[in-house]
Amino acid sequence: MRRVKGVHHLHGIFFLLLLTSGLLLYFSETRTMFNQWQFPLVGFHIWTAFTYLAFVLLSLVYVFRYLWHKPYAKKVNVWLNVLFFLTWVISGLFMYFQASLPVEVRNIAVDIHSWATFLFLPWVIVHSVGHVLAKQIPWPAWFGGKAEVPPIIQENRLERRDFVKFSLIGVLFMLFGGWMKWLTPVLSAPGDGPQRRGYFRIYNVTNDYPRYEEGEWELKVDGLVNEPATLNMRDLGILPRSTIVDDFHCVTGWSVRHVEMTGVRIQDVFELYGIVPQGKYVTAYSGDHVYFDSFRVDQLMEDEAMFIFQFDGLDLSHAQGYPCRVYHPEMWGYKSVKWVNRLEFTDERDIGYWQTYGGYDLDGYL
Amino acid sequence: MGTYRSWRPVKRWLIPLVAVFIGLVGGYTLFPSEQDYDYKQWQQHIDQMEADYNYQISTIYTLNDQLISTSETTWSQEAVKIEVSTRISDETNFDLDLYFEEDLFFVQSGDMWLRADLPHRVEEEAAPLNQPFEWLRDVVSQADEVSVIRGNGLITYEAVFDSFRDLDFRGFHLQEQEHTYLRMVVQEDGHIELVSFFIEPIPPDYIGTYDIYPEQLTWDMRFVVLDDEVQRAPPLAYKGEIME
Repeated sequence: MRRVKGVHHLHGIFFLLLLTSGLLLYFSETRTMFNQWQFPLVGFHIWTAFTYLAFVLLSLVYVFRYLWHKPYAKKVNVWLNVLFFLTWVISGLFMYFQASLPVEVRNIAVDIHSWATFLFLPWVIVHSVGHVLAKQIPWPAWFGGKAEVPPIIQENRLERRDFVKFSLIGVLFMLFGGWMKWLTPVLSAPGDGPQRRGYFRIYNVTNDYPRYEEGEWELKVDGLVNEPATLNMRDLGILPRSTIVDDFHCVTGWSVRHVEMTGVRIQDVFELYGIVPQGKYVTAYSGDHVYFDSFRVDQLMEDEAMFIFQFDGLDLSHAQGYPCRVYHPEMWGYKSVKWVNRLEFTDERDIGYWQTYGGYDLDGYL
Repeated sequence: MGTYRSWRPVKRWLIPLVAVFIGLVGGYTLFPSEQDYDYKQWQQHIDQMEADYNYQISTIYTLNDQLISTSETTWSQEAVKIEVSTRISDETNFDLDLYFEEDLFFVQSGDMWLRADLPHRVEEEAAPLNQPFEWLRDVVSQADEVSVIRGNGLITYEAVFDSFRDLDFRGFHLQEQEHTYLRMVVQEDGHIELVSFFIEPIPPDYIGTYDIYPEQLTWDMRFVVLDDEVQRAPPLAYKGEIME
């Protein structure tokens, strides 16, 4: 009994950690706040979830052994938890391996993950308040195992025959439902999903631009860092790729809507290669040897900041910055340095090319 | 006990009703409507035709029953050559050749060559000739109704449009539609024969009385499978003037 209580309390602690970190991630204001503090909230959430998963798997045997002769109320509680837990695990795995899944599947997984949390919250509140105030919902006495189960309930105990009946009726009406759908004059297959709209105007500050061949490109990271590094596409290629669908906005007025961009998060690159910035600012240089722009270090360490390799599933064209450009969804296109080949960390902020010659805003937020 | 046995609400009513509900909802959700099925077949057909062959595509474009331009396009996934002939007067045409190759394109007008990198605004102006299948997929995905007619050795897919979500066609932004449809005729052996786009648009609200907006547009593309490779731009084209 003591062991089960311990399991129950640990379950509560893990759940609270996941719920809190999940809600902090859900709301963009709190998510940004943690990014600015450079606290790896996503990593924390994922690793807590994996630890919790291991803990649940290890404790399942004890829990079910304990429940075997317990009343309905306890069993319903556990099964409800198992159901939601599986929903979070499966949708969470879809989110974790999102790079290899289509956008629609990823979006559905994110929605399910979030909605399962909000649906489960009332139960969590009632359960927690009940424990803290030592109050219980007035279920019928038999439901809590304190009285004999009345005959009207007993006679409805489900048997194999009921399962077979349920399945047969279900399959039959599923076919009927399918036939009704076939006859319904609706066209839903294309969906209402957004389409790419607009096209990229190519603006360069030099007459010609770099045309890197495969394997030729390198990114130097130097200046005020713990150790300078030189990375190539193979180094970046081993990181998990992320895909976002975003509107690309140029400060001159045009936008390309719903562009699918694939790349890696800059913070992941730094984490993997142990690059620790020691300056407050970073200057991103373009391979055209003329263009550059600067950022606060925390801006490039935000979850959203990426090195982009692909637009709409295709490698960037040479004119669009092949093989790699910087991208931050909250900033104008001029911050998206193409053919980025050097990141230099400094204590003084460099004033970028378009800030010098065009009077553009230094941070370039939309 | 006997009194209750005749009642048994869960076994007798709840389980069958839940099964009926889950079955109906599941069936209605999981199975496609006839139009959804036809739409998917159509999209698969477009994918297959795009992947399997190179084509010679002849187009005729009319605006308010007036012939505006004709073109001959040789198309492959790797390269596209478009010869456009635009009518200027009853006896005069303006001819232009466009070449699209990976991330470059070239324009030949008379002896003059221009070149630029892709993507470029010219792509939108040349559309849908440079990417006819991508354009087809996009237009069909905005259909309000889809149907298929089979007969006489032909399969005819038809999409009817009440409005477009987002479509610019030959310089006109199309929104609400009066009578607009797209037909694609395919031989039963799978070869595409004709794509015909008939448009009778309702002018958007922002079109003023004196603005030019069409009453009727037609766009026909006739496809013939091409056995040869698409002709690439000559070396001279690479020395052409850079186009802004």
